[in-house]
Amino acid sequence: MTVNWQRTAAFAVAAFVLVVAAGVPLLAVVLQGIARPGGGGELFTARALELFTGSILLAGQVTSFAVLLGVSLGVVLGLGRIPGRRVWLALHAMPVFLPPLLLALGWFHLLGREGLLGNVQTSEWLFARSGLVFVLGSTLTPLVTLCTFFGVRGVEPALVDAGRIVARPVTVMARIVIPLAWPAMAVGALLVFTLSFAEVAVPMFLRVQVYPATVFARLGGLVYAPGEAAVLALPVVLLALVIVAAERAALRRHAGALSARGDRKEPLSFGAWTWFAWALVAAGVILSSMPLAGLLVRAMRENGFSDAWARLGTTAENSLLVACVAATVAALLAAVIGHGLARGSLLARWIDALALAAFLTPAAVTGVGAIVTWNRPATAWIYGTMAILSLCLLGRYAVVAIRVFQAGVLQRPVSHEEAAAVGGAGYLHRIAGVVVPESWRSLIAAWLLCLVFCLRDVETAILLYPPGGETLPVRIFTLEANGPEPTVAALALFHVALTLAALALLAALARGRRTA
Amino acid sequence: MGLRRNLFLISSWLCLLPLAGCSQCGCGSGNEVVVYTSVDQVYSEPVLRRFERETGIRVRAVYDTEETKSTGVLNRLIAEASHPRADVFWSGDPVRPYQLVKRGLIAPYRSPAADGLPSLVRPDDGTWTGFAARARVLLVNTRLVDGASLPRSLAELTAPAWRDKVAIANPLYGTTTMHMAALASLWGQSRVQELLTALKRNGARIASSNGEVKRLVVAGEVAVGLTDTDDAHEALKGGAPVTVIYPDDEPGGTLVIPTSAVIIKGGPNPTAARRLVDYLVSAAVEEQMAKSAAHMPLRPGVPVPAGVRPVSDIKAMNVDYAAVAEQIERMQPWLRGWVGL
Repeated sequence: MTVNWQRTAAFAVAAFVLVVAAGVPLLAVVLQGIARPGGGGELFTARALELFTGSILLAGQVTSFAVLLGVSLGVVLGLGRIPGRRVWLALHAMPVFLPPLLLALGWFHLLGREGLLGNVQTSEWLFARSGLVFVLGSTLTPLVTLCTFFGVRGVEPALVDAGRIVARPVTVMARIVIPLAWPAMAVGALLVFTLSFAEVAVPMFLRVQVYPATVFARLGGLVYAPGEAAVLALPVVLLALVIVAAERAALRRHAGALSARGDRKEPLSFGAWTWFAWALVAAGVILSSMPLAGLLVRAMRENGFSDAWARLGTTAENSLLVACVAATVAALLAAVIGHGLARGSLLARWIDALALAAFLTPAAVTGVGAIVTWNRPATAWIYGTMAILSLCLLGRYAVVAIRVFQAGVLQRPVSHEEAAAVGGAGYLHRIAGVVVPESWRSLIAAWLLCLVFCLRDVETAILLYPPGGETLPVRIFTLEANGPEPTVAALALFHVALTLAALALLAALARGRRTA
Repeated sequence: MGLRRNLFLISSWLCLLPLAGCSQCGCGSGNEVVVYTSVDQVYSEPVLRRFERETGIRVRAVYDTEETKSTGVLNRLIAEASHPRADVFWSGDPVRPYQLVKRGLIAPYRSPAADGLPSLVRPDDGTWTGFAARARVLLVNTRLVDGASLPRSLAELTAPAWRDKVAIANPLYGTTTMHMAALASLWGQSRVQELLTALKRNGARIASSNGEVKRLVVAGEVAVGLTDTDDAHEALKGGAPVTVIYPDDEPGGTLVIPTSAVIIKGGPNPTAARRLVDYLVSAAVEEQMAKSAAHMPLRPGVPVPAGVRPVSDIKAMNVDYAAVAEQIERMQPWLRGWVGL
């Protein structure tokens, strides 16, 4: 009785928070769409359908690129004998910390017609679909790498060691590690697919038409039509539901709980494949570093760094504050919803579907919904303050934390929780005493990835930040219009440094906990 | 013990939530003013800081990105219409304010500080006041185009000689929308449609913004781009191999776009709002914007720095900004089709 009560209460609180943060704003725009005269059927032209399918195809191409490189790299860095792997991982992960448009500008400075490495051919290649797949792929690959890294680090070491007795490293990877860690990889792939599908600024810059631009065209510019935008966003929400259904069908075939505690101490040697492992690491690091190098070259011109420092103001503090709050609440929700998802809870599935829909729906649409919902005298203490940013970032990125923690829990045996339940432990006690201690690495990864997403967000923040409360990415983008390019590039690198500092602090704390 | 420790951690973090809100209370205090601006931050922020220093009134600002990179402050103002948060909207053009006028979101105010500005930018109903202006120009890469071949009008760019060498910003956004609508109000919409169709057929590149047009011209990706004088000024200031052509030979002339200030109806600080508008439309700000952003002063007698062309030297298009605002809505469906959305 107590057990059920605790579980019900925890789910009710989690559901309430997510409905408030994500559901109500979504509902507000859907209602605007419904209230629109004519129903909106006329908006779904053949061209819109062509763009929709084209965008799905594009997201598929970007995801394939990211999975191919990210899974290989995540496995190599997660399990292999690669000296300095955390440094390589950090270098490879850096593009994820920035809004993709800044990376696209970095590539443009390199591969444009008069770029450092550019000519007419590279420019034509960059400003086409090929360039878009490459830029988004190289920008988002680290998400798959990071998820895979944490996934393979969670695989029971004894299974890998047993496999190594009778098989080559590559066979062990292909037959044991990847199948066991694939829920984490699937999370990475899902994130890449949804982010590349929803991206607007980079396709616009590289001259590729995508479906979300049709939604944005109703919210940007001089003709404001939120009702039309809401109607056009509906297929995106439906796509989210299809993705959820497909993913669940795939997860049902998953082998289930795998590992007791995946703290691998001895890295694997790749033998004759060592050169290949290093080639992968080099490719991942170079691919990630090149656009940042482009930005660095820009930043070093004309006192970019000193000017950027002067313009930084309180933006870094604002970014950290709202992102920390949002990521922390998201991690708490993930402990309940992510665990529920992994253990097959129906309610958790519904809440997760809502969170995924909020993630996939264009930020401009949910942002307008948030204004309609929260801009009231009674809620001025939320809307007129930084709290609105934390709340909306939570609604948008909670799914990241939920999915990462779910993947971690899926790798743990349910038997430990069952044993605790038999011993009389209530739901909250099992979560705090069994699930979180066993999957603490996943919980930290969930918090971390959610933090990164919140820190790099522009679309939500730009529409909702209170006057005088800019975040760092907002400052970068408001200065990008005619601001000095070296300053903008330096601010982007400050942002990378800020994110790395936050992650390094977290890593130090985690190490301290392990030592203790 | 473990459970208690975790609950303590959880509650500690939750305590941070109110902290996230405490530093930015949006209540009107009387000695502050909230301004939303679509004028580039790099130009508008120094003006607002100077206002703070001179009056002691704290300015809390929301700045805009280029329009294709976010939804923009205009639409935020419209979305917030039921409970306005802003006191003043400082717009980069006079067309955006008309979107607010149409929705009844503006409190008319005839600033005494606007004396000396042309009547064209001071409508009798006091809904907006225009000042420091930009113009629509052709930015030409001089490494790719020699002096004898410089284009003089948009229509010229539809010729085979300019195939794949021209960039124009997405006309669904920003001053390009306004430019096309202004041409349509003078020439008729069908003629503008023909021009855009011919440009597209000639391989014109649709850039995401005027800033990107500048970037493409400076980088030599294209030879010519249609952009604004402030973008062109930044390219010149950076030492890029470019020159600026005012399309005075275009039928109707060059489009001049004043920035404008309006007061939002129901804003929390109406008195401070009026003081800010008085300041923005003053000669001092026109002079500051001319120096920092190459905006052309509309008042006669305000000094014009070297490199900034006085508005009196331009064959300015004679446009009714209200009509242009109406025209934008009429053109929008066709423009979406032209862009491919």
